[in-house]
Parts: sequence; C-alpha cells; structure tokens
Amino acid sequence: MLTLPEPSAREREHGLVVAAQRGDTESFAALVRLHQRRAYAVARAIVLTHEDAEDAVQEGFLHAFRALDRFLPDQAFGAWLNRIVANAALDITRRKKVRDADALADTIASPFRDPAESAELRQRLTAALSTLNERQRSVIVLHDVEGFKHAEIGRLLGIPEGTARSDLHHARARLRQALSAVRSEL
Amino acid sequence: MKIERNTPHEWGDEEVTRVLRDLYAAPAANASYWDTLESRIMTRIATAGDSPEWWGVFHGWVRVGLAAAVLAGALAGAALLRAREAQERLAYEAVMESASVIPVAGPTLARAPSRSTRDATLRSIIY
Repeated sequence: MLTLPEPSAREREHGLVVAAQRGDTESFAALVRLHQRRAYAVARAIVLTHEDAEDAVQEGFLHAFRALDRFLPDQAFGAWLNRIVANAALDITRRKKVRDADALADTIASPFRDPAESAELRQRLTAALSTLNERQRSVIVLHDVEGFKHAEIGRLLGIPEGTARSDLHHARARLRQALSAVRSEL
Repeated sequence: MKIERNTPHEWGDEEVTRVLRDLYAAPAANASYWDTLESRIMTRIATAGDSPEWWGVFHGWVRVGLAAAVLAGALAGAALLRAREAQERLAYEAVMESASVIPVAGPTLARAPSRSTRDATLRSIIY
C-alpha cells in the first residue's frame, strides 16, 4: 500500500480526489502520477506479462475514473484503486488462462532485468513459478516483492487472510525446492 | 560446464525474495516510461469518455428488446398450445375411428337393433 507519512500528503491527495470528483481531469492525472507505480506492481504480480500489467493498470484507472463518484474521499484512495486494478488484472488472467509452462517461462521474465543475473537461475525460477497456481504466484509476489501484508493480499485477491498465508507458505516451499539444485552452479 | 555439488544448497526465503524482486522489478528507473504510461491512461480515459463502450449502443434498446422478447414468448406459447390441442384432437379421432372397425365378437356385446330392423318388425306385427 502507498504510505503517506506526512499528513500534508494525505490532505493533498484528499484534495485531488475531491477535485477529480468535481470533474477536474488534471487532478485525476495527478492521482495517476501518484499511484501508477504501485498499481503497476499489483497488476504485475497477478498477470503473466509486462504488457498485460500495463493493460490492467489502464483498465483499472478507467474503472476508477468511472466509479469516482461512488468513492468516499475519507477512505484511502490507494487501497481502493489497487483493489480495482487487481480485479482488472484477475479479469485479464481469467480471459487468457495461459497455463503452458513454456509460454510462462518465456513471458514471465521482465524486460527490465539485471543482465548480470544467471540465466540458469532465471530459467529455473520461471519454471518453478509456472508450477504454482495463479493465486499462489500472485500471493508470493505481492508479499515478497511488493511488501503487502496477508490481510491486504486477501482483500486484493478476494480470499481469506488465512488462505493468503497458506498460499505463501506453499509457494515458498515450492520455489526453494525448485531452486535448490541451481545454487551450486552460480 | 556445470559442476553440481553433491549436497544441494537450501535456498532461504531471502534469496527467493531477491530473485523474485529482480524478476518482477517495475521499470522504476525509467522516468519517461511512467510519463508515457500516465499519458496513455489519460488518453484512454478521454477516449472512453467520448465513445461509450460497445454495449452502450444497446442501452436504449433494452425496453424494446424486453417487450419483443415477451411478445415472442407469448406467441410461441399460444402456438405451442394450439399445436398441442390439434394433436390431441387428431389422436382422439384416430382412436375413435379405429375403435369403430374393431370386430366385436360374442353374444355379450349384441349390437342394438337398427332403426330399419325395428321398423320391419313392427310392420310384420301390424300387418
């Protein structure tokens, strides 16, 4: 979740939301600037590719813009938006349902990777990720990469907190097991 | 050439997390990327505002469509009812026709005397 440590930042966001609700698109653009990175991270944890994550972010912001009049400005805009983006990402995943492990291994690697990292390790990790179900993969990425808490992940994905906790445990165990043979080659 | 150790290393959660973070890293360092994405989002919103979603075209036709569906349902129901009645009538007639040609044997079911037979009997008594 986007943390707003200074009260002024929260107040500023509140002002932007209220202005956007009155139809000020510049204010909504400012909200996009504030939240798009986090929204991308949420979407990227759920879908398989960078391109799908971009689509989910755009869909999410569009839905948020249309539903803006139903949003209560005293709530956390980021949390509300992230749920919408997560839903958009889940919709894309449901539509595509790419289950082929090879396709996953080809597409899951981000183009923004460190070239020094071992290709073997990446290959092994992507293969290991492909053995997880969609929910487990989303949970481990949201938790380990993006730092979401179990309860937040539960709200984002529409699952109980305990399920998120259990998925994380199983996903980690699977990845550790799959990666254990690679270590000696690095 | 790859050299495998005899005892494979157990990966810790931290190492898994490190590799995952690298794999799923957002293009954070590229500021122009985010500017581009923002403008794409705003363009999408502006475009969507100008042209409604494709299903929006049908919005005005919902009532007409519902009325037509109800009418079509009523007509189909009436046609079905008529067809059923006609079928029943035909079936009844078929049964009645076949019943009239069934040979009835035995004295237990003696046919009632016809009108001409009755008249002939009366004439013979009178004359």
